[in-house]
Parts: sequence; C-alpha cells; structure tokens
Amino acid sequence: MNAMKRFDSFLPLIGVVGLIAVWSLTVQFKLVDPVLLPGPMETFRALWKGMTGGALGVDFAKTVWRTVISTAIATVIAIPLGIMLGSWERLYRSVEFVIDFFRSTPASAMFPLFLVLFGVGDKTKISVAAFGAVLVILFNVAYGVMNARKTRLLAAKVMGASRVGVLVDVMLLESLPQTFVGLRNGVSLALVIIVVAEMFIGSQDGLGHSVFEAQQLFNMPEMYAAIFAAGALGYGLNLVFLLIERYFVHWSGK
Amino acid sequence: MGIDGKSTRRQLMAGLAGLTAAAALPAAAQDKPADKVKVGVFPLSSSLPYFVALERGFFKEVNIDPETIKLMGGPANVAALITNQIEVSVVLVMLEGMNANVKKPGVATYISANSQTKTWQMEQFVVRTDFKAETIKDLKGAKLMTAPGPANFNTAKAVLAKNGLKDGDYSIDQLDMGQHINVMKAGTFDGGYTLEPQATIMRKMGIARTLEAGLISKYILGDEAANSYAAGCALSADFIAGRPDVAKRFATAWGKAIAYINTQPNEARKYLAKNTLTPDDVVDDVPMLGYAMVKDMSPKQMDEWQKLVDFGTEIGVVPEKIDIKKFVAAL
Repeated sequence: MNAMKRFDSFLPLIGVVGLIAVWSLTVQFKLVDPVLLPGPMETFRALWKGMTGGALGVDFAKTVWRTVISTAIATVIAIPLGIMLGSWERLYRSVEFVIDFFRSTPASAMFPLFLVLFGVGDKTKISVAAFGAVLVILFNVAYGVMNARKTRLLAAKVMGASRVGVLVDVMLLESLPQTFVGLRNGVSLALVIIVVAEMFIGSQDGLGHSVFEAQQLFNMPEMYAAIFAAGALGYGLNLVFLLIERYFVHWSGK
Repeated sequence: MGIDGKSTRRQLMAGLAGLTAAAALPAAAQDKPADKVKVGVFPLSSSLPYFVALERGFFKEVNIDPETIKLMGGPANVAALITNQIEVSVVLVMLEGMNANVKKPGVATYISANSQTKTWQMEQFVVRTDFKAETIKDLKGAKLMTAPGPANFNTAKAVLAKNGLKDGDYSIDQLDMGQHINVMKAGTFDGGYTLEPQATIMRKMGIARTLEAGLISKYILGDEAANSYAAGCALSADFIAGRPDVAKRFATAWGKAIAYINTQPNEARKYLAKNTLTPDDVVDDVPMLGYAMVKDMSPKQMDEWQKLVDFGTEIGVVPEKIDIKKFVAAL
C-alpha cells in the first residue's frame, strides 16, 4: 500500500517524461525541421541561461509584476461586487447579459479601446488584463453566493442571525470555494492577456515581448524557453491559489 | 527527275507534316495541366506584382497555376518556406529573409527586390498634425511609436540617433501596424516610424503628416538616392532545385508584372483594391515601390542591397555577416 502511495506521488512526472520523450524523438527523426524545433536540451540550456543573468529573467519578473497587479485590482473590484450581486439575485439578472457578453469577448479584441483610453505602457496592459479577470472572478463569486446551500441559510435565519450576519457568516463562507475557482481562472486569464499584450501592444519587456522578438529573429531555443517560462509561471500562480484555498477553505466540498 | 520529283514531294510532305506538328506544339503545351506553385501572400501594397501577374494572366501565359496561401508577417512566411508548405513568398522583409538564410542557407532565395527611397516611399517618420515638429530633430521629448519587430525598432532608433537624438530624448514603443492609425487619431502618440499604406491613410484623414520618408537610404545607406532593398520576392532553394523550369517560368511572369508596374503604375495600383489591406479610397494615392528583378540589377544596386544587409548584422537582426550574392537568383 505504501509502495503504491509512493508510486502515486510520481504520477505527475509521467506526463513530463512522455512529453520530453516525444519531443526528443521528433527532433531525432527530424519529423519537424530542426531550424523550427530545437531539441529539449538546447531549449532548457536557453531557459537556464536566460533566467540566470540573461534578459529572460528580467522579462519574467516584469510579467509576474503585471499579472499580480492586474489580478489584485480585479480581486478588489470583483469580490465585493460579486457578493453584492449574488446576494441580490434580481440585480444580478439585470446585468447578467453585460457580464456574459464581455466575459465571452476575447480581451485582445479590446486592445484598441484600452489603447485609446490609457495610452501605451503598463497602464493599458494591466487594465485590460484586470478587465478580463474581473468578469471571471465576479461571475464565480456571484454564483457562489447565489448557490449557498439553502439549508444552512435557513438554519442561520431560524437561529435569528441578522441579514448582515447571514451574508458574512454563511453566504460569504459558502461562496469561498467558488471564489477560489474564479481567482484561479482569473489569474490564468490575466497572465494570458498580459503575455498577448506584451507581444502586440507597445512593449519593451515581458515574456510576450521575449517570445515575439525571438520569433522575429528566428531564435527558436530562446522562443521556446520564453514559452516554457510563461507556462511555468501560469502553473505556479495556479498552484499558489490552490494552496491558499486548501489552507483557508478547508471545509470546501464538505 | 522522276526519282527527284518523288523525293521532292516526299520532302514537301515531310516538311508540311513537320510544320503541322510545330504549329500544334503550343496547343499541346497548353493542354498540359498547369504547374501548381504554392505561394505565400502577405496582402500588403508591396505584394502588388503578385496581383498584377495573377489578374493580367501573366502566370497563365507561362502555364502556372499559383495557389494563394495568405500568411501574415515574415516569421509565418519563413516557417512555411522552411517546411516547404510554400515555395514562394511574394514579399519577405530582407533582414528576416537573410536571418533565415543564416539558419538554413538558401531558404529565402530572392529573385527580385523592392526599393524604398524618398520617391518610392515606404518607411517614414510621421507626426500628429498639431504637433510642433518640422524635422526629425524636433522629435526631442516626443512620445513615439514604431512598426513592430527588431528590424523596424532598431532602424527607427538608428535614424533618430543620426539626427542627434539619444535614448531618453524620446520614448518609443513598438506597436502592431493595425493600431497605428487609431492611436495617432486618439493622440496617444506624438508621432512615429510607420509604413505605407498607414502613412497615406493618416495623411488623407488629416491626422498626421510626414516629416521625412526614404529614411533608410539617407541615414543608413548614406545616400538619399540609394536603393534600400528592404523586401523582395523569395523562392525556396528546394523549389529552384527541384523544379527549375517551373521556377524559371514563375520568375518570367514575375518580371513581366514588374515591367508592367514600372511602365504603367497608375493602372497597376488599381490591383491593390480588393487584393490587399489597402483601403479602396487610398489606392490611387499609395506610393509605388521601385521593383527590380535580380537579373536586371547593376553592381551598384547589388552593393546597396549588401549594405542594407550589413546594417542588419550591425544591429544584431542578422546574426552574422553574409554575402547576399549567395542568396539571390538571376532567373
């Protein structure tokens, strides 16, 4: 049983080993032109070199900063608004179309509008990413509140809890698991928007800029290194929210 | 005489048969299915020879049936050339093509090049109509944009430096070409390094004016009249080696289109409408480029071309010094 458990902890590595094996074989048998697809070792060397003293480390830090700021702004706006809309379902229904409409609109399509509103530089990138993340977090928080278990709400009311008490002690806590789903989706979306914005709207740094420039110069190992760095960042941010959720929302699903 | 007469009749009959066969040859050749050529098309105003050759039937004349594959930007065209998904890229930025040639020699073999000068305008510095600047020197303190990519970015900076402006004297951001007009209209930038047809559209809309065009010739090549061959039509080495006859015929049609543009520019530019990203109302105003086939170029023109590629090496866009003669084909 213990051996089985030990084996289970290595399960996530199977996918990684499989990916590297397929990649190595593709390069080995030249299934894709080597100019376009360098081998894993070459790419990891470029990743290591770039992250330890190269420009990639600076670009990575810039993207982290932009993503964190935009997610923080989105969180501050979306959570209170989501709780308010969720606790007042008729109000939510009245704005549901607008939320769903913009939630379904690719944020990159909003670049021209945000460029005109905020100019270039960090303001546009952060605001457009925050805009995308707000809607995702808001949607999840509102539904979390609306779907708070009725039996618990009734129990609180029967026991004489005030409206504010019900909102804070029952609805808010009940909505937290769903809120964290929103936060995880929100931070992933914010990262995607930031990277795309760094690629296409006036940027001198960031992982998106790094991918774009490497692509323009056909520096393929550097390009894949930047893509891996972006992937690792997205995975890391998701993991951070997952750990926070497990620590604070220990009642989730119970 | 009898024998001679028979012989003459036989010779005559044979001659007639030969003539008939000769007369039938072009028809037979035309009956042969047209050769397919996969062509990567970035629908810009500088792709004009392709549309001229297509619509005026120059490809048909040489029994070629081009398959248009729309590809946006140099990297997509280079990747498609490397993987043989296309055999021709109708307009490939020179520094991007030469950079690709360092990685895989011959992948972008140019048969023609497009010259940009003060007359054949493409790259230029523009400013908002209400911004006080008469020359590039006056851009001190300005908020500038530039066409994206390291080649454009470094060229813009080099031109600013030649005008005495150092880093910090201005701010400059790379911006997707599709946004240039919007942001100038909104006043987000004071000016910038842009390309055609955006510059013509801005001027026509009254939101910006050109400070100076033909910048590469003047500031990078050091001669206002020098040809800056910033892009051209490239064939893959595999195509030229694998189907030399088809490649030669493609080049013949291409040369005919270039000759047509050079002799009848006003007629030619009408083919920009519907085929390219050039709006219909500016088609008649978009400046032409100086298209030239490699086989018609003088040593001076080749030197100008080499000088531009050397500049690419200087700014790090082309990773090593290369001899352009290795990557051109006089078809």
